[in-house]
Amino acid sequence: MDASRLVRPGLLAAAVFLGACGGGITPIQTAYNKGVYLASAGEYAAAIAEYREALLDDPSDLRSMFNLAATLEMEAARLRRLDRLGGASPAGEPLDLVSEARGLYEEILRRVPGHERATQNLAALEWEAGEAEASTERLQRLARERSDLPGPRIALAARALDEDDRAGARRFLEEALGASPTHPDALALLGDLEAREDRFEAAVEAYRKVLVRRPEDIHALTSLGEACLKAGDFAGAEGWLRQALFVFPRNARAHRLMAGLSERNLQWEDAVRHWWEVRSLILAGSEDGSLDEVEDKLDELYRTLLSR
Amino acid sequence: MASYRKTEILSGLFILLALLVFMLFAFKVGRFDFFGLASPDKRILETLLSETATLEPGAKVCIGGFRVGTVDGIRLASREEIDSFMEALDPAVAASAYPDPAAARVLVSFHVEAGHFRKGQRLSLSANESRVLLQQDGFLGTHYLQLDPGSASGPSLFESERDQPLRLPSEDRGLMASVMRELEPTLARVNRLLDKIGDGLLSEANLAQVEAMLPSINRVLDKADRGMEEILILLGDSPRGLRSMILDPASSLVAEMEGTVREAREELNASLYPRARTLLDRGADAANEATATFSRAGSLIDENRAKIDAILSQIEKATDGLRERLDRTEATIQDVGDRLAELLANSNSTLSENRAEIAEIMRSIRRMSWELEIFSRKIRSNPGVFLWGDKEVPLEALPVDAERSRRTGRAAPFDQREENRGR
Repeated sequence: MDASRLVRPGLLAAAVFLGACGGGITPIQTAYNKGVYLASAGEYAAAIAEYREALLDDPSDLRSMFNLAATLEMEAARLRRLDRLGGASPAGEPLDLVSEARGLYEEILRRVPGHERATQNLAALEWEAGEAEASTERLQRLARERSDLPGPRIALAARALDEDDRAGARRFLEEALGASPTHPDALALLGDLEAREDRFEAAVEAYRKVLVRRPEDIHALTSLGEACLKAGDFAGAEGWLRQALFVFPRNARAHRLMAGLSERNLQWEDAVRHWWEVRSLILAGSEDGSLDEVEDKLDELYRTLLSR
Repeated sequence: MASYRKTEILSGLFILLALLVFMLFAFKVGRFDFFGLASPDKRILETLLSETATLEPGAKVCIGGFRVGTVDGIRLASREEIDSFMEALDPAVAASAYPDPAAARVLVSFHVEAGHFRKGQRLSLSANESRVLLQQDGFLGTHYLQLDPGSASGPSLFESERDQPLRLPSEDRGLMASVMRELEPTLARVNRLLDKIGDGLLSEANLAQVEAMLPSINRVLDKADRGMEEILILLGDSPRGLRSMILDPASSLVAEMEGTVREAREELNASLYPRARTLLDRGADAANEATATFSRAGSLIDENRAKIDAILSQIEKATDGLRERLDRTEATIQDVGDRLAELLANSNSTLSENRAEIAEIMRSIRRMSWELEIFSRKIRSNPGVFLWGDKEVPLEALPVDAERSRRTGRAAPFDQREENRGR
């Protein structure tokens, strides 16, 4: 047999083998899922791009549309925080993002009038824009039409809690939990309400129920730490806060609470470390706090360390 | 004549030579140092050893591996000889070399020959500085004596007095001996430490505490034993076990039901069906005939009413018995049904109480199955992952803090979804 006749099929086989083994042929993750990942990692701009691509693939995908709108809001909030710190961002960009998000929510509601999440978020945007009556009417109408949806009731409860209408908040939360007894948002807000009324045991119970559904719920973990702290259980508070930071290290509220605990335990270096984390998060636009307050706190701790 | 004499002379010389060689050989075998007679310059020495291993008379005596002498004799030393040997040594040297004088029982005498040393070379040995070591020639070889002159100075060995053998102490420098020397103080310290720990741990207070705990431990173990017994009884074949209380009665109920059904079927097959078949076969004529028969029977019945009443009452009794059995069976079925309903109700409440956890478990199972599907798709698309690994970064969404959105009444974004399963 002439060996040269084997060369061509041999090269072809080698090319197929190398092509198969040198890299993937079929993509295994969609733009939508990539967008969710990027948004969870705080890369809002990249997430927005992925969601837009997902909508180009399928313009009827309401999940991509909703997530795009929500991510636009998050990016707008981040840019506003950077503006307050004096960071450079194009003027008016946050407003553009918010108006685009509002348009997307309205589009979703045109296609699906009783869309729970879009109603909640659009109502929140209206409220923040000063359209309180329209916002409340939107939520109450959906709550009347759909007694099985906890979302509008949760939104009304959050608003009542913000206005310190505790009885109203409790009523809305009970209705929401009646529709969905294990809804994590409702349970978390219930925990916040109980903590505000200094009923720490009830607050802890509510937060623990959230963790049954979502073991890595950062709000619940951090709030459990705060509730234990206020109840005087410092060891328990430290445990919960450490867990919260393990799950989500960019948790400014947990860092503040841990800084307070460290100061209580006279662990000044740890306190400094936590305040530095808060400072970094503020500078990155991930946190709403005051940079001056944090830096004053750090100065005080440095003086304490030097005087030791 | 001259050649004849020459031959005899040569033969005689050859015989003399052979005798000489034979004699030398005999002296060698008998370990008689023939040449030592002509060379009286040697020095006799003695040492005491605790054991000689494979050392034999005639073994070599070396300094630095170079043979300088021979072992003359090995024998057990008497008490007086041992005492005399120790007295000849410096007390400090004797104590260090022989911490247990009773263990040194073997007296070895050997000599060192001057002929092994070059002219002008001097060897100084002293009881205070020098030592005799028992060494082995290789791993399986015989033992010999090694002389360590130490830092001895003074007159040469062969110029000193020769009235008495020079007595040198022995030393065990084997590996085990040196290790034991190093270990002894350490072991002593460990012993002291263990004593201290023992005093601390095994103090009266601690022992009392342990003793006080034992009854509690015993009670706990007893309870556990009793609990295990109860469980075993429940699972076993005893009258109080599950089998006896539930399974056996249930199976006998089922058997009884089967028997009742079978009897009822047999009664049906035996009585009603044949009659019905017979009537149909005969048709109208049979009906007419039956009518005539019935009319005749009617008269018969009238005539034999008493007897017929008795027969009917018997049939009635049998029917009542069958009815009773059917009633019992129906009651049993009802009871089983009630129990089943109760069981279902309990499991339903259990399910509803743990709905959240069950939902979470289901969510985890769904997520795991999605990850397995992603992994299998990855392998199908790129089998080279097994060889070159996977450089793709996992893109599972990270935990997000929902506090801000919750407190503003917003809904969280949707989670990632399984791919290629429709929206």
